[in-house]
Amino acid sequence: MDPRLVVVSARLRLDIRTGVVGHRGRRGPGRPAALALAVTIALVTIACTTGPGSANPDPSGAPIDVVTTTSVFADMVQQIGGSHVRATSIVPKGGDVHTFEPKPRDVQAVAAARLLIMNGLGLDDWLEKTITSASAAGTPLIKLGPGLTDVTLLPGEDPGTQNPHLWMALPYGRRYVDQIAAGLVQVDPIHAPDYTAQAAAYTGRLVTLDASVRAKIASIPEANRKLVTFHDAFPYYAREYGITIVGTAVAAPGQDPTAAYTAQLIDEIKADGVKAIFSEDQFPTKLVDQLATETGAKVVANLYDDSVGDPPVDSYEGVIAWDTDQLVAALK
Amino acid sequence: MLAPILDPLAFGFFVRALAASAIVGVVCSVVGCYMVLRGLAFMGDAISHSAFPGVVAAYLLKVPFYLGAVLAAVGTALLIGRISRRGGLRGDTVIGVLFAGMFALGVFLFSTIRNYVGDLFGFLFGEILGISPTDLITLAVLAAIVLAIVVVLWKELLYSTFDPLGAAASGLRVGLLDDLFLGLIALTIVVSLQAVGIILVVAMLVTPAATGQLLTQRFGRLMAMAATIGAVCPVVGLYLSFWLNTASGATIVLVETVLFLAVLVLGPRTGLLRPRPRTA
Amino acid sequence: MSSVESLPLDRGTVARPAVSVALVGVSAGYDERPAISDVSVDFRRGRLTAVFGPNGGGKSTLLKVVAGLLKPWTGTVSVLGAAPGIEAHRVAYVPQAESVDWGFPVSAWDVAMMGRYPALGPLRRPGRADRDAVAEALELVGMSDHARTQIGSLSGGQRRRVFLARAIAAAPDLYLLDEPVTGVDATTQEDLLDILEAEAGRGRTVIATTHDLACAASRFQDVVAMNRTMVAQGPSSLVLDQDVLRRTYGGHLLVLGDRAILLDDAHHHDQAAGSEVHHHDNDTQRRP
Repeated sequence: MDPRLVVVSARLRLDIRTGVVGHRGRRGPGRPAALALAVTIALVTIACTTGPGSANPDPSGAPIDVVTTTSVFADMVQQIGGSHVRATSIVPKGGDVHTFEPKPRDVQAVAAARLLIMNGLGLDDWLEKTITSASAAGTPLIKLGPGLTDVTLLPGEDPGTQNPHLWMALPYGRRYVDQIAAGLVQVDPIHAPDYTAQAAAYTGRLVTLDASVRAKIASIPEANRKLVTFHDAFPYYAREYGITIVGTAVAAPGQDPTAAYTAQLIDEIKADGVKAIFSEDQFPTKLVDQLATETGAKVVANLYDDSVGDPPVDSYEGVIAWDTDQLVAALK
Repeated sequence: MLAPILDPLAFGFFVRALAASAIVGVVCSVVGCYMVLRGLAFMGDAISHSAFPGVVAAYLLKVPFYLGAVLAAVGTALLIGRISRRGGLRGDTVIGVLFAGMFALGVFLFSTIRNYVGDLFGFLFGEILGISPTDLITLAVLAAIVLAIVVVLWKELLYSTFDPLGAAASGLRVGLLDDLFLGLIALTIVVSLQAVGIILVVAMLVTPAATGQLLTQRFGRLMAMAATIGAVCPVVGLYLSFWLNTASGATIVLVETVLFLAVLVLGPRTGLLRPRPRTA
Repeated sequence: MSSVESLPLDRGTVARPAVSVALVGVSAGYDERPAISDVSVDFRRGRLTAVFGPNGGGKSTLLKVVAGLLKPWTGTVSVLGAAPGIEAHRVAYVPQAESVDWGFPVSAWDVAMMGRYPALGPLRRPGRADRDAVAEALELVGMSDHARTQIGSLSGGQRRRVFLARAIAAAPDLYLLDEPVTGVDATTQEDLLDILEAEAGRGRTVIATTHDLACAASRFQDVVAMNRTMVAQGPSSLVLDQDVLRRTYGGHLLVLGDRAILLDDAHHHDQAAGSEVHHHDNDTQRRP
């Protein structure tokens, strides 16, 4: 008999008994409380020692499950993995990774995954605990951001922190691809040649895209290359492709900016003659609209960064290409 | 047919969530019985909300979150008690003042943080699905301490709740018991933060005991019923959240609330099934 | 200034019972307002003593000081040979009816059992001896049949009986009862007083507050008259002393045949002489 079934029925039986025992009111509630405690201690012991063992490699050739934090990474994994991989993300398309609350299905997917991928550097670190406690023992977890050890990280809003949005610069994105490919090879060595080939093809496309982005941005007059977005997802993109970030609507997603912050931003936007302010898909537009009203700049919807969108923005390449086109159209 | 019940048990995170929420449910409902009889439901809400600035301060000072939560919750509880006794104001007035003030302090401190703080959101709504084996053991130990204190002092707490004057006159240290009880509430709340979070923990404290009050007029039975409800509802709620893919903490609270309403409407004392007096 | 008046000692062959509770020069009150001032009074073992006086005269406050619930501002208090509260296990305090939550989910048995808790201390569960004591106490007050009834379902008189049972179950040396027979039916009143008399007969000290003068005169052995300060202390015949009554209530006692009427000056509770007489009839009947 399945030991877990025994546990479930034991708890039910004991709970019923607890009710009966409690009828002897004059003996006080100590006994039911103590009984309940004993039961739950038993359950704790069982809970800490059960759980799935390492996920068994599936010899049948069915796709392996890979779970990432954001939908952008899921797309990258799918491009590299092809038919051998089924990639899903915890934060769904359109969700905000900074404030997302995982639900049972999400955690269940983590538990069933063969490979786990997150960014780190403060983007999704708070999901790490859920991921590590739910995942099967021995499942590798790749942190893409810290994997780029030799890159000069840009500072985050708070002193002592970094900006995590490295993948917005395609050269860094290619290095993400390298790490993902290595991870896939590690957990599924049988298909290593496919992964290597697919990764190489993908990288090739990214190189081409990179050249296209550079050309398009270069076509914007330098004086107009000023960017205001919702949150600070674009510093690496800006550094790579030659754009100036004037500011962001919020310092940290999930909480409104202070009055002083917004006032200062408005002044800077006016001073630098920024023409367009960009909202982002996963965030509400109110703050951006307000900035536009105050400064006379134009609101452009939407840029994508932490999440993919609907076609044609439903992939990493799509995200970068779309964002670039939006910038060009608005700032030229 | 049993698959929907057995399948989730294959996941360690789910079994731990079951165990944690059941433990939290039991300890909350046991402490909640006394809370409800002492009229401290509002106080419980205030104490839980006051854990928020403690958590934020802990984040800023880089100390463990639970330390900040405990200190803030216990401190607020004792402060409310002191001010009520000395200031001559009604209890709910003092509670209202400190409740809002402490939470505002939390938001104030929170606004000074410019970085991403997904960690702190977990405290507002709970992160029952992220409980690690270590978390579970910590939670179980703390819950055991609270329950042990209740078991040891249950009759002293009962007497001082029912008749503080009579109890004090016969030698019980009623003031000390009151403070201890406030401390117990605070500790219980901190234990429960991970399961349902600050916003919802008062429901775990109050609703099972309230449901019990609808069913029985005997204290021992009340405690047993509340504890049973507190153990079973989280299990039901977790399973429901699993099948419906909804937020687990909120689903648990909804199950408890629906049960309360069902008993209210159908129950033997207050509901449709209550015995009607026969008219001649 | 008030003075304590004691009637001359009864120098019989029986030794006077020992003083178990003594107050000297005690003043106490709430916030800044004094409820009792400069009170000096003795209570003796084995005696049933009534403390009477007008409402607001400090009777309850006196009890609370003796019970250790209120710290006096001045004076000394000795209860069973120690400061108030030290011997609390030997004291049973029965509060006025209003201060209890009657919706509480406890039965008569549960309430009576609470009397045993202080002696048990933490962790120990009520045992055989406790259950026997509670059963006896409930039997004594005539509530055995209602032991399992929730207290909210009991009548006023029945609730008083239960609270007395709680006190009795504690086997105290000192009973402090705040208005124990106020507002209860006559049968209950008689029964409760019989029990208290019996307890006093066993050597316990019983102190009760009341504003029922007939009851004080007829059922109690000693009385204490007070109105913020001590007016008089002595055997219960003091209740009928006009001078005492005037100083306590500011009114007159009129004796007409076998009925006595107290003309209570309801609005002046201090001892000012020459106060108006209001026809605020307060019928007191003497027991035949």
